[in-house]
Amino acid sequence: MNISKRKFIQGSLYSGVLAVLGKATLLQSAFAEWPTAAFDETEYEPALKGLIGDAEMQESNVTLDAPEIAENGATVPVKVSTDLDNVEWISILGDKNPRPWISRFYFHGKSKPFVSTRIKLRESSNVVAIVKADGKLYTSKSAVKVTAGGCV
Amino acid sequence: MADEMKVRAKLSGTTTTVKAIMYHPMESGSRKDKDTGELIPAHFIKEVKAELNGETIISADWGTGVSKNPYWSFEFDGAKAGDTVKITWTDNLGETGSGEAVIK
Repeated sequence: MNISKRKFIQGSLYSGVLAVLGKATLLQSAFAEWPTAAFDETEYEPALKGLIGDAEMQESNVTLDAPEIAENGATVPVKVSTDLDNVEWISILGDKNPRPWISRFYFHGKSKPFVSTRIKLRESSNVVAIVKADGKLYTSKSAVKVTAGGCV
Repeated sequence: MADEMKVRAKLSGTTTTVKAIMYHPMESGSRKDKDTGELIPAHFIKEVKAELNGETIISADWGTGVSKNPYWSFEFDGAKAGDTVKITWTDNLGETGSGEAVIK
């Protein structure tokens, strides 16, 4: 009686600890690797390298929707989607921004590989979207003419 | 803080679309105060995540290039009306904010 009770308590303690560990790991993986190496760079090429290293990108499968002309560079609507499966993340950059790397979105569970966001553009430039799916990189870019630069 | 975020979540067919606006200055750290001429310190959301009934479905890392009062919309399958979507952010100063919506 005592032993089985102790075992029961031990068992429930273990599963409690495991549940907590599992949760902590999940949180960490959701927030893993904030891309400091990309954020710190003030030029596009080094920022891109900080994000993807020397990996090759394919110019296909990414749909990038950004305006041809943005009257206000402080808030430029951008949508990115892809027909690829197993999308790990979508990242957005602005090649003339003082910090070209802007954002990266991670897809878990049943989320769709789609994002709609608003970004700052300092001046007329290319918006670049990069998708990582099945370990491979895909990209698309879109030129945006900015008539009043964003305070970036 | 009741006014730190607005979240809407709408189910259409099998897909839920979430739209959120988070009230945050998203200061880049390179802007000057017009009166004093001094740099305004960087203050921006770095990490944000969305959970469905407590499970993370989408998350993001943001830099200073995301607009002030960030707008974020995303989509996912597998939810039903009445489920709860919660969005939580953490900024570079360690402050956090959250908002949630019941899927309609």
